[in-house]
Amino acid sequence: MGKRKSSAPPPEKKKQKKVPTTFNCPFCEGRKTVGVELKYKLKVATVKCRSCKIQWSCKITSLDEPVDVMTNWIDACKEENEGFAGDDY
Amino acid sequence: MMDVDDPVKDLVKGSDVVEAGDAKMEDARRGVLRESKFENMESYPEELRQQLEQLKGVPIGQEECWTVISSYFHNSGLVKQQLDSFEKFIGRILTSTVTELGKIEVKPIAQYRPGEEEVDDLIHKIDFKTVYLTSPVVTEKSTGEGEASAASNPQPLFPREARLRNLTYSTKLFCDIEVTKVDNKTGEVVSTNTHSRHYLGDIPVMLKSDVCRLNDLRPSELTLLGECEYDQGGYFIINGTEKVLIAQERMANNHVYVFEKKQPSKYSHACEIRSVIENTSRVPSTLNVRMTSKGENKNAAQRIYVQMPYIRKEIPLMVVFKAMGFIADKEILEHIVYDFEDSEMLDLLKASIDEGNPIENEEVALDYIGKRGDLSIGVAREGRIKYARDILQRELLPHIGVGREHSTKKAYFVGYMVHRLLLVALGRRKEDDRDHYGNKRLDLAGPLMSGLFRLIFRKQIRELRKYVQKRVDDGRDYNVLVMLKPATITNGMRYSLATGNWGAQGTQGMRTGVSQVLNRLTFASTLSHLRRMNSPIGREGKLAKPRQLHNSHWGMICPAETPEGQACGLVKNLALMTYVSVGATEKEVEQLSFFLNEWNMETLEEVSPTVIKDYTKVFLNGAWVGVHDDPNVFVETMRELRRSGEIMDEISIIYDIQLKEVRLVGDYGRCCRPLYIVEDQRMHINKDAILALKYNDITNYSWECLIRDGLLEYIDCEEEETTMIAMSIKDLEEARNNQHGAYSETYTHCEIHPSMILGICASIIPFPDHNQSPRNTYQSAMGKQAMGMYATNFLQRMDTLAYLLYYPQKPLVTTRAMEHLHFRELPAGQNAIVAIACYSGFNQEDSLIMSQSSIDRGFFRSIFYRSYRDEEKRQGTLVNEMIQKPQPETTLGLKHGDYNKLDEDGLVAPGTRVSGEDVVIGKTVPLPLENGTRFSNKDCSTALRSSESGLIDSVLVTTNDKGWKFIKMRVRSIRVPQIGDKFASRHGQKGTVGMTYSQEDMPFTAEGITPDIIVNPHAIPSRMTIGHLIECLMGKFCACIGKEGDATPFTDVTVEQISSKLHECGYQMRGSEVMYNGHTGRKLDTMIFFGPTYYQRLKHMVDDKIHSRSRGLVQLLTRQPQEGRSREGGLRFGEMERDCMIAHGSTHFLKERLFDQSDAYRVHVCDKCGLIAVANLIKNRFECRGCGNTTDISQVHIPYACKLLFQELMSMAIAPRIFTKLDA
Repeated sequence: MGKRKSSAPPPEKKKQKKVPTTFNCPFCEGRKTVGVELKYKLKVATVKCRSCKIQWSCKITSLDEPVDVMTNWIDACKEENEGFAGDDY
Repeated sequence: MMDVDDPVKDLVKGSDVVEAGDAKMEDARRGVLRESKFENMESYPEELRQQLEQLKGVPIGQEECWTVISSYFHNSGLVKQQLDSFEKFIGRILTSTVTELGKIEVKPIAQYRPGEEEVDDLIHKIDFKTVYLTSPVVTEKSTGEGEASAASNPQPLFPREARLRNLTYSTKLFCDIEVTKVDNKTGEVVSTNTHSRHYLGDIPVMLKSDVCRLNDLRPSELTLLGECEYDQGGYFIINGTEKVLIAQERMANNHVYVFEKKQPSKYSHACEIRSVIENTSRVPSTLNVRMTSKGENKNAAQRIYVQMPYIRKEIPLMVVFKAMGFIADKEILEHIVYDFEDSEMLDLLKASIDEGNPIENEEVALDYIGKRGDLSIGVAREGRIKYARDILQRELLPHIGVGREHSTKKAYFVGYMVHRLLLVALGRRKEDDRDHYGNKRLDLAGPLMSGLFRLIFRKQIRELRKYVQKRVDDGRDYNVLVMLKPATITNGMRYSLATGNWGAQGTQGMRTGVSQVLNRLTFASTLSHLRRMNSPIGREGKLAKPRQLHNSHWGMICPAETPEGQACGLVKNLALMTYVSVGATEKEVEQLSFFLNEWNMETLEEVSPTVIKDYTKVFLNGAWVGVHDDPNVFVETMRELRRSGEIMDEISIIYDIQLKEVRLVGDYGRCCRPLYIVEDQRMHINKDAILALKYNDITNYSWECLIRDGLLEYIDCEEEETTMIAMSIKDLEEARNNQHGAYSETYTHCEIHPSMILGICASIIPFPDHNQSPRNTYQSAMGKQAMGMYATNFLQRMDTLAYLLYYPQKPLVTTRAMEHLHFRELPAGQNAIVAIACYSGFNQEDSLIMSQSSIDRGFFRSIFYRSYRDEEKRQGTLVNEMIQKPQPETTLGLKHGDYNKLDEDGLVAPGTRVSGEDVVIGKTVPLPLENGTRFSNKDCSTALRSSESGLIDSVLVTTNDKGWKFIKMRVRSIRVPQIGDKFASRHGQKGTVGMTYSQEDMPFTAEGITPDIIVNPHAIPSRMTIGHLIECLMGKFCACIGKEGDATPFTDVTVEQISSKLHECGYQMRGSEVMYNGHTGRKLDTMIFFGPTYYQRLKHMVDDKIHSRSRGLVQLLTRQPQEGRSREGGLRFGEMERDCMIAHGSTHFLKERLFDQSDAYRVHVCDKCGLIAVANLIKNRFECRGCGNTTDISQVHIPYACKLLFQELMSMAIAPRIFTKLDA
């Protein structure tokens, strides 16, 4: 008689979390709508939200990845907002 | 003690005995650095004092080693590793865990609920202070019938009682708990409340450990307590069953490994470390440094990346260094490549340096790392930098330290890892060996129990904190003791020990089989079980490497004793003298680092990176702590300090000349073994120490003194690689006297005796060095099934199964190690007179011919005990089982067996013969009262196994831990050897009895001696068990002179020596004899090899296996015959048998077997739709419910299992149709 397979399946291994490449838009609150285009040759990157079409570019280095550009953008936005009334981002 | 007149022992005695006054002696005295120190020498008798003085500096011979070995076993016993490990848990870890984890601080969180007053701003501190343990006790539960007060007091518990009454042998854990309330603003202590000696739970106790009641008792006292005087302890008693914790093997932590990656892969090499702070429960944090591979075209640049805990992506090496505050490339390179002349290595780093260029300062680097952590995108830059800094400080290489002051060391360590990686990448070093035993650690009972306790206690504390927090937030009072239910710890520990599932109940990914029921078949099997270890690698894994015997196993792990099949090489056994380190305490490590600085080690903080290339690195427990410029002197001093006892003896000192590093390791779980220390080709130990050991009742000189005086030391697998070990004392002599011819002149140590590489079971084999190696493995497995005397207290035990030999004998041919296994006192076999001959053909294919007359005289007669148990279960007031004789008038569901043997108390009296399905324990459960039935009870008695019979040996009536009436009943049956019983010699030569002949039919010698056993000669040539033959030869000679023979492996005994001695006794040299046929009286054509050989009776006996069935019970579900002998089941005619019948074309026979004789059934089928129809055969009405057809219905014969399958399919909306006509 073949043995019954144990009822509980083996626990799923924790997947290592990856560094994200798409982001939520800080302006239109779109989920994962912001993509980053990196042009290493030109040393320029562009962030773009595909729902509200907002766009921003900056200079990058060879080590930079989407997260870096995105955080740069957010930091830049915050700087822009500095001094203005209202809640911070 | 030195039996000079013993001719057998004489065979092995070395000729290197140097007498005092010899010319050699003076020579020997020179250069002796260490010597034995004797205390109170004045009190010794004059003669002894003189002798000790005379023997000073006289080198010992091989024979004296046995005195040293005896003193080792006298001191340590055979389960020292288990006891030491458990005692560390009880003595150190239990307290520290409770006090470390048991610290709670709760601040009320404002709730802002309308209409509620604000809560007092107090900090609530709960502190677990002093921990107390009792000796093992039992708290009786009263059954509710009076004397309740007396019963609730804890009573002393001894192991025997725990075993018999199915109790748990455990101590009670108490703790002082202090609850302080501090004003958050003023810091004033508002109130302090101490709950003293709060009962936390029960901790199971290892037998013979220092908390056990049997610790340090004399044999006579043990006997009085119903214990076996040879029992070594090292196990637990959980609910009455003895449980062993099997050592679990794992890779060592805090150890840098470099591996080449199998191509194709993204990486070519990887360097990894699992960093753990010693003595904490933090999860290991892994650091990986990897180098990318060259790619398909073999020309891609190889870059190095670092994978850190909590960082989602690997970080370029340079970024890591820059984050640690090293910006300049040169500064970084200094930490990696110590020698700037090494352009090869610098070149390999070039790509990595270029990659890191865009990052110019520390903050940018930290930000780069922080962005890749577990933070959300919106976190500000400062937050990211702080996060990265925290990770570098706390999670990166925590074993070096978690404070800010350790950053220099960490940078050096990362650099070192890269350096090691590059060495392999450049081909200057080989990749590390995963299977080297120096890289392995064993988790014994102590670490296992600590882990478990920590898990349970932490959970309890977490719940306590939650409760207190909630109460405090609500502004209510709380009672700490409510949340500390003793059952949590008690049941948690007991669950894991009872089931072997290590971890909290119900959690996933638990280790199974950690705790096992102690094997009590033979004394040797018990001992071997207590020294077993397991590698938790999947049994299915096809990789052969972890299963193979490794060079580094020498002396630590038995080369022979491992199971065959799936677990081969994964389950191992410790060698006789292996010691498993318990680990240095924090204090001892601190002291060690003090010594390091004392002896001119320069710490990394104060040294310039440029000098490292000329210096030797110093590592302490895996952390690089400093450098030293004179490693030889440094290592020498450290060793000297260890040998003189200034630093702990189990700390190993490894001087790796190739890597230019000194490693000091003191973690737990390392395998070590003792060796003689050699200096200038001379051992420190001398004959005076041996003499003192012999007269240890006067001198008090023991094994510990040998270690203390620096005559021997413990060496672990890693340190062993840096030593030169002489195999024997002779090798040392050779090195002294004949420098050019000697194998080596640089010995640092000497083996105590090479036979100590074997484990328990392999030590029982005589002349194992003359056998083909798998035969020793087979015997190691078989020795565990041999009957003998498993304990001296067998009459006081109620084991579920026990085998005993009537007349066990100590073997005629022994090994020296057997003395320490108490094989003489508790043997497992008999010395049989064995002829190796073909006689009548009834011993073909590994069967034996046995003398019936010998059997009648008691040869290999044995007892088989089986115990039955039962208890009066109680659930509330309704279900109250009663142990009583069931009355047939009022009892429902009586069994087939005979109830007449029961006495009025529901038990069979001792001495009664019982057989078949006789009821031995009568028990009833009351039925709910109903009108119209005469039954007031239901039967739930215990009947004897259907195939067994015997006499009631003894009956135990007692109560168990729940206070229920509890019965154990032991049935005894005598087993006389018969055809089909299994026997084996000690050389993996097993066989079953094929025929018994009475003495007159057996062949006889000229002296009139007949054999007990005749073995077929064909068993020998292909199996090459020469040891078997030599055992017989030596046995014969020993029988002549009436002495024990020495069959220890790796001694100088030769067959030639034994032969000539035998010849002197008047026998044919090679043990053959002229024999005469017992039936005819004629001389046999050839001479027969004839002599005594030690045989074992194995537990497999025909009477337990014989089975046949013509008809009988069937299973309820499938209506096929039951399975198994105990249920009188059928013998399965399986797929392969079926295939044979098909091949033969015997279809009718097949149908008869598989259908008529199995589960024949008939159904009615609708001819239209092919589905099963309803049939009423009595009224002769048929109907297909589907199509309303009542006429076209056929009767079909199918197996019941087939009908069942169809119905199951129909339940899943699949319609299996049976078409009875072709055109349907």
